[in-house]
Amino acid sequence: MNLKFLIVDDSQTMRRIVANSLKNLGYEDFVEAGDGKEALVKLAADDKINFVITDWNMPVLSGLELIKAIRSDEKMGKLPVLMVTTRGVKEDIIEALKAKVNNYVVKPFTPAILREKIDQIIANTGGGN
Amino acid sequence: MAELNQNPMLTDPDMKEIVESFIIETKEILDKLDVDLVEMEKRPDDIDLLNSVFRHFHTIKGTSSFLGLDKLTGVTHKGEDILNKLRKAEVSLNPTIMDSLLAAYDKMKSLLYSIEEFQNEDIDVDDTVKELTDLILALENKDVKIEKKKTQKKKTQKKTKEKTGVSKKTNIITPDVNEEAIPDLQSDSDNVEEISENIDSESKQQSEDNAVKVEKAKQDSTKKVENSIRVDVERLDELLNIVSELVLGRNRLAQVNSEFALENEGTKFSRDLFDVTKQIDLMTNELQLVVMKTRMIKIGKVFNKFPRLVRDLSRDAKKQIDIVIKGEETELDKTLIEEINDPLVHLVRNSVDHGIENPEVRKANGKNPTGTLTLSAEHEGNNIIITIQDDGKGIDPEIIKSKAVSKGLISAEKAKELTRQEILNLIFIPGFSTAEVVTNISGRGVGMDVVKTNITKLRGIINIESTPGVGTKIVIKLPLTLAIIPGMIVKVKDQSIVIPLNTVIEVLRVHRENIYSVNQKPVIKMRDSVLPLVSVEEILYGFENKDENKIWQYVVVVGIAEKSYGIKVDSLIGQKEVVIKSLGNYFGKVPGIAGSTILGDGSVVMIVDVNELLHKAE
Repeated sequence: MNLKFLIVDDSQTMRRIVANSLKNLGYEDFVEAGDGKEALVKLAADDKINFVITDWNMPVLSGLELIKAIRSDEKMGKLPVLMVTTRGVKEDIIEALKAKVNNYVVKPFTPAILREKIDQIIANTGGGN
Repeated sequence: MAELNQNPMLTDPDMKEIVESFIIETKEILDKLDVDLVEMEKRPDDIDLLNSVFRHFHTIKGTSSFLGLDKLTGVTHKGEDILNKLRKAEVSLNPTIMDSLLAAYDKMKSLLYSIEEFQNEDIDVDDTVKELTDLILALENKDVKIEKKKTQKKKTQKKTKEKTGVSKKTNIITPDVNEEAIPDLQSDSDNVEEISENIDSESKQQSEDNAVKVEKAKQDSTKKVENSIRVDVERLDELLNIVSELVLGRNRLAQVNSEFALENEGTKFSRDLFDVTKQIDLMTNELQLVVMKTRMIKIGKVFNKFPRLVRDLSRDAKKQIDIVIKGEETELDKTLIEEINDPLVHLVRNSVDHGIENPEVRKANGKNPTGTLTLSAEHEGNNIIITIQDDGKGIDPEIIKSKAVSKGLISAEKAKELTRQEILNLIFIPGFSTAEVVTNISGRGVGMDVVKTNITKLRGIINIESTPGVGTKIVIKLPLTLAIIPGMIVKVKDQSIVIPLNTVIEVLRVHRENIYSVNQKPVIKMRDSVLPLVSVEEILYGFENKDENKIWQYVVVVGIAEKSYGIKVDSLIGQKEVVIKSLGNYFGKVPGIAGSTILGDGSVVMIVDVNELLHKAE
């Protein structure tokens, strides 16, 4: 299926790493945002986005708040969201799961792990919407 | 050898773009951290600041882990752990924690340098990691200590060695909680579903609040656009060079225009030429300004290093010092920014070391035990004024005087005649240092004379004001740019020369009877001071053709740093913006000449180096 990704991270390097991994997996279509707020703007402007990969710790609007915002929105409430996190932040992961993130991936990940996570989410959500 | 040590990920062509982005981003983050960490110590209760510092560590840890930069990831991770404890208010910030965070920061910085320069991480981090690990253990131990306090009050009072013994036990427990619980969740995605279902009802309630949030975010967000680009400095230099040429062309055009207008006044062509000249003049001015601006960097880039420096220095010297920074938005040319750093570091070190007193001394003198060091910058016309001010013990002119005499720098008789300002200026003489003991902080052989020389090289002026017991203020005046300067055009014999206008104090017409001779050297009296007279001709050509019939002598009085002297000239032509060009490789460096420029009439004239002329005259 055709996936269009929104990569949300305040670190440009991190966005490039994610984008690079996605390219390695054969995905071509993605947009980027530097924080949760910008992500919401991008989402509102582009309804073709059907997969969000977001960092947790960001200024302005954090990954958690972004997930909550997406889940509470009528139109995009079911949008698949993958959270990128680091080791040792169990509380964050529980918080994110409470906010109904679909899955999470721990940095540093390989493209293979990323694919596994994306595939899992697609299988569980029945392909986006 | 070096090649063998390179991290393969860093040299992988496919990773090039990411590695570059990583280096630029990490550098920027480290710059921010430099300021934020010290600021954090001042405002430990600022949660936003703490979160931002934490996020910076977090980002570096995340990105470096992808590049397989194990040492950087490791050190950053330790720092992040400590910050996380602060964030969760498990511990509160104290100087020990701060020192460790700064140690982590320093290591991160040197690792990044090694990564950028050598594509490897060949830097020993073991000590830092151990220091951080010990601290984390000690901090965790503190929690244990608090819990145990009720039952075993005595044990906690024992020595540090035992503390680490206890903490090692805690350490065994912690990973169990942290690391095993997460992979469990991760490997089994059913868990995700399970937890999600449990909390389903809870989040429904939240969702209504959030709906409002989304709307708000949508409304007040404007599209974020990248509003800056990176440009190679070489291109900017090239651009400035071309603009300099254009300025010369503009000057030439203006000259042609006025010459033409004299002969053909009132004709249509002369009016058109006038219009075009005017327009080009205006646009060139604007272009010159814009290009100069693109080369400008905020002085904050330099200033921002000082809070950390002052903190470290004052801790070493057991002093309490607050640093106040003003005008960090003030911009100046990139070249100047690079050159001004070392003199400033030296002056700040001096203030900390010799200026501000120990807290006990300050208290005894009825001063605030915490000294204040102010670093400020502001624009004044085409100059930037940088001030370093402290409220320390000031400089006692008597001590300076006796020191200078005892060191044989000046004679006792001469010392008596010096004004207060002249005495203070003695500290700029090579070989002068007032420090009783050479300390680690200053007095490393680099004296104030080097500072002065560096400032003078930048066509700047340094001035010192000091009141014993109240403090010292050092004022540095620098031009905004080095390439284009306002110059005063004068004639010596038939040769036009340019004197940089920033050094010109005034112009005098002196009757030849008022030129005296002291030690066979010509001097003039100006108000209550005696000024040596310098002949450009003699200095440059080795002899002077004296015109015995001349009754009036024009003298341009110039000042460099604290010294002033007069330059003998035959006539004054006017003022012009001139573009400094080097004399080229063929001539190399000619003593007394700073460079050359092309005037409006196409003639090449020399720009004198006021500082070197003075040295040659002495």
